[in-house]
Amino acid sequence: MDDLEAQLKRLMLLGLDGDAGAHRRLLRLLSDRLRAYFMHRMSSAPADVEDLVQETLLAVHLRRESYDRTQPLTAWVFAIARYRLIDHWRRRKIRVTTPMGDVAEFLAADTVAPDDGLDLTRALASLPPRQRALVENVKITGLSLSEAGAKAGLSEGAAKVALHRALKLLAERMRRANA
Amino acid sequence: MQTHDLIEALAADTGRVPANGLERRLTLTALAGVGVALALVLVWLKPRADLGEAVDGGFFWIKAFYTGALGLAGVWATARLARPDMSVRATALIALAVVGVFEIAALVQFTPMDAGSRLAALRGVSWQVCSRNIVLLAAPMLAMSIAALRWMAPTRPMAAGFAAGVFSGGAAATVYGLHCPEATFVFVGLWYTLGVAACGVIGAVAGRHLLRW
Repeated sequence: MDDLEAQLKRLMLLGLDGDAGAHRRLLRLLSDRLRAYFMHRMSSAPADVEDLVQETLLAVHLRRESYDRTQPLTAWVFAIARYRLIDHWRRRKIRVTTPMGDVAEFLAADTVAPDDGLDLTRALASLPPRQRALVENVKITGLSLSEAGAKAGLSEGAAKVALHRALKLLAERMRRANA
Repeated sequence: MQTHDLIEALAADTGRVPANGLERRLTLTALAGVGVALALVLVWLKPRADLGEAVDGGFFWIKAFYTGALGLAGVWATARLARPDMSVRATALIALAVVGVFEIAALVQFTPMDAGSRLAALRGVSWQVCSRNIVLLAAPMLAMSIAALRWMAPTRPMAAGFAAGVFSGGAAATVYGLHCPEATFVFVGLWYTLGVAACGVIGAVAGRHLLRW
């Protein structure tokens, strides 16, 4: 468990310094842990699990600046996951009866196979066409950001800004989807 | 959309994140917010005419320390609440102790007065505008603080907004001391405290609407 914390934190610190490969590995490892954690808490609505995983990954990514580098990474991620879960329950008006668990459980849970995220698909469809094309080209067709930007008629700098805005908008739209 | 695809999009947006980003944002907010409040006092309210003599007196500084301490407690709590799951109990207790000591001094000053002096002490010369002016001076800084917090991950949005309000209100009230000639514990304990508290309440309402994520 300590190994996992050390590994995740190392990837996080590299990612904060701009290492995209480390950031990708971090998010993949986290998505497994998050899926397992939410699965245990959401047995009544398994279809929502992937939405929560994706919302939490977006929050972890967009709010990286709030991570205090002197603190354990898993505690920070777990706090974000729990906040997303409580917010999810509040929006769906579900009375909370399941205990929230703790970091140890979060680290120890078995991994499970991912599902499709319906909320994110819907949120993506609602983005302005240019931003949507940018996100889709970066993720699905595997284009680099500068190639995807060029396709949308944007310089690399402008594409960077546009992608970041698009991701922020995605997070906002997902949150409002069930409000 | 699959999580795998989302991760690709997030990785493409990796970028560099500066260390101590929160501290930098709050420092910038304090500098800009105090600067704006200072400009408003100089241009709009005007510094008190006897400022030169006032800075030699004790109460000018007692007042500044009181509101300055509230602002410091506010910024400390804001920095903690900007991150998920941080406790602010110690900071809240310190802030309450500061207010408590000041209010006890106000009561000690107030109790022996006769009815006429009591009313005069409560009203001073500016009771109708004091709290309002503090809120107006704090408003730009509060807006900047809320904007800074939107980059963070406050899991208690209302508390974070309240802390940002006390931060801004304390700083603005300290700057307001350059204009305001009031010099009693009774007046400052009532109207300055109310002004800072009002900033906190406005911040909490703003936090509820703007800091959820």
